[in-house]
Amino acid sequence: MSTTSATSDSHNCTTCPQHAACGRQEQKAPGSSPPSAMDMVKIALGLAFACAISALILGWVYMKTEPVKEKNLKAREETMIRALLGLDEGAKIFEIRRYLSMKDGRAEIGYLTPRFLIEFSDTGEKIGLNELPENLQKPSATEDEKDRFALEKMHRPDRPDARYIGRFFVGKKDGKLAGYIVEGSTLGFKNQIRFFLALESDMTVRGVEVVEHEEDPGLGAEIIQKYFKNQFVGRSSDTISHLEVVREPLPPDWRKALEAIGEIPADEWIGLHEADLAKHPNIYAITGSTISSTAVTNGVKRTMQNFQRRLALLAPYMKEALP
Amino acid sequence: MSSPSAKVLIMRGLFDENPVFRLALSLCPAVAVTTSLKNGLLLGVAVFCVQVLSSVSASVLKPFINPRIRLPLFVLIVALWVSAVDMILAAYFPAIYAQVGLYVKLIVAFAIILSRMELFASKNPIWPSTLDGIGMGLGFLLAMILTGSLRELVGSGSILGITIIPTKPLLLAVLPAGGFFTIGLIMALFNWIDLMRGKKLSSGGGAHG
Repeated sequence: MSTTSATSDSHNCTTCPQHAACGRQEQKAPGSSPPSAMDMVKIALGLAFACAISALILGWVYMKTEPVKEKNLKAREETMIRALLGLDEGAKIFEIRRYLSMKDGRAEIGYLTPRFLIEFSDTGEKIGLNELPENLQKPSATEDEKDRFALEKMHRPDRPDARYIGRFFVGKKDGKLAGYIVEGSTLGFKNQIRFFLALESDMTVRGVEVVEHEEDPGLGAEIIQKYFKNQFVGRSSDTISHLEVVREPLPPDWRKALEAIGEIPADEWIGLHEADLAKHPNIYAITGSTISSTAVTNGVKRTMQNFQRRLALLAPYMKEALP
Repeated sequence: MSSPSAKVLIMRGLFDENPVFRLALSLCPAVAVTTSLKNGLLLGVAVFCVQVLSSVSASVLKPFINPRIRLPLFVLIVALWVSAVDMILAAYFPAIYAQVGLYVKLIVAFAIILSRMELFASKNPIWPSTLDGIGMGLGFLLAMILTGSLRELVGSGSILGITIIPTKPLLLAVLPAGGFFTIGLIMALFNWIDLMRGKKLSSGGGAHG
């Protein structure tokens, strides 16, 4: 750049290698000369101070909003669970939380039911049964309190790596089993997709509901649409394990039938559409989103398999474990 | 330097220097979100809050800000308000947040907010900066409402989810390309109104004073 351009109004001092010659020193452009050591310290301290203040404000907002957010999420999950199982307010829903603890490379699994903490070794043997203290058996007990109790029980001094690893819900109506909700997650196109898998007591799928996902709007995000998620409804545990994702267009009449679930209760719908379910044995992928479609399908398959295994393990204790 | 009157400041943000239709800033989120009026409205309100809060903060803090680090500090201020608005929306408006949550975080990178802080709030007293923030925020909100309602009406045949036209007149309108077409057409309309009123077409950039 030549010094002749110094006369032009648009000339910018900071880009001029010989800015002493450009005659515009009176307008001290920031960054025109390196700051002194003192300035640097001041700037660094100023920035650190600004960051600290911002962190304090954000921390305060977080503390105020987080409990509300948790409550909303819980309420949303609760409505989702009831809707999936077709249960009204009168029915009871019990949460069963699962914990993993490692010792010398051997896993121990703990199941926290509303009444007991049942521990199993990795070979499936029962190695411990603890009754929950009174205050944890109340519905008001928080997840944190439950987790702390379970981890303290399982985590003897030599086991620092016990942790919560998942949960499922058991629905009961008039003292009878009304189905299960299993929480599962699967790696989607970018991030984890968290979903609920609703099962009848005979392991037929009642519904799938995506709780959290970050798929692309218009593409992978279509997994939350009825025409996709309802394709799992009515499949038995056996058919689920053989499900395949096909890249064919979804037949319009099948789509219409799938979108009716919700208006018609799922169990009635299954009864009406047995022939259709046999006619469409596979999952039709979302156009342009085969990865998301496959991710959900595999997640459902895996969740189903694991859940059946876990339920078999827990079955002998289920009756007394639930109030 | 005497500041323009309140009316001038607000009208400038709304029309003469509308962030989207005049300055052509923040087009990417504007196109991404305005597939329906509701989404556009929500992002518009969020941007409005962040713009006002950021302009006021920049104006209040300007005596303490070392000019060498003003940009990092402005970004910090925007990020602070965006995070706060994000958390508040998530807590108190979960249904809305589920729709626009992804874009609320993106407000941090909105050119219009930083540009108003740098060009106006850092040089003007608090009250004019507040008005400028309100004007620009409203301008963005207006752009979101216009684009959102037009695209929803033409693309899905509805407004706020209520069906107005039983068919979908032109599906293209709700696709990303349609967003640019819509914004371009509204821009042309703005220019045409200016020409009709005998004004010279503005070349954009944003007022400095």
